[in-house]
Amino acid sequence: MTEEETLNAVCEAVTDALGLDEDEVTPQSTITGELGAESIDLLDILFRIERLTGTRVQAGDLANYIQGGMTDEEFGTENDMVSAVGLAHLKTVMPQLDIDALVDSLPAEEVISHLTVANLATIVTRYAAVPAG
Amino acid sequence: MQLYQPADDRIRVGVDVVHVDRVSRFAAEHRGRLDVVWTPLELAHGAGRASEAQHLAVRFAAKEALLKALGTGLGPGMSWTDIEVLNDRRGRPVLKLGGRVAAWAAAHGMRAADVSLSHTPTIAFAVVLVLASATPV
Repeated sequence: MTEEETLNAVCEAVTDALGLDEDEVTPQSTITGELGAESIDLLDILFRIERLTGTRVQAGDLANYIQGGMTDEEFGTENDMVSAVGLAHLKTVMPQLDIDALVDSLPAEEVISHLTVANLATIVTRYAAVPAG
Repeated sequence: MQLYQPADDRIRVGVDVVHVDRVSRFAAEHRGRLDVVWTPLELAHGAGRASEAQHLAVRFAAKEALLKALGTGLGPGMSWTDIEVLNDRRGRPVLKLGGRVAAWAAAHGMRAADVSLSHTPTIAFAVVLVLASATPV
């Protein structure tokens, strides 16, 4: 499956899971932010993606990928903001973020709200390239 | 008025509301994957009931409420089935933790948790209270 096909599949999964019209979902749409997906919706989306692409991404894996395998203590500061090393990693998985503007001001628990449809498609593509372990 | 809080402990509360029809649609769409979210005991307890969707929805709300009380989302390596909502002999709901959620809770000083559930045919609601040591282990 090409990256474009994966992106189309993720768009379809998001659209169907959330009951939206096709033109409401773009690659730049943030899934839990702008599109308002909740936890049960995110599960629905991941299951639909698996059905469409054959690639399984679990909710816990998603958090692990976004956090780059860092512990909570590494990823967040004592004030629960994303740390410098956490921001550096986020730049690789959410390249649309203006990291310089988020220093000491991005709550760790709000990171998921910045995940876009395109970001999720990238994650699915990368998981597809790695055999399930 | 002064908030009572034991000096050595912190009290954390988490609440969550789930639309029953959303869980009903999810269950219908992914019938073969429900064991990713609910444990065999949770599924067995609600199976065949007319109110199965309410049963599943209120347990999902409890899982979410616990994570909120702990101050984490479903973090790296955690599974929804790490949190199990069972009933004691008197029918009172109780939480049973396992896997990464149990490890996370222990590492952050959780000493006890209690849960209360409520639902209507359309809305499921859960409140979880967590008692944690002020100084995590």
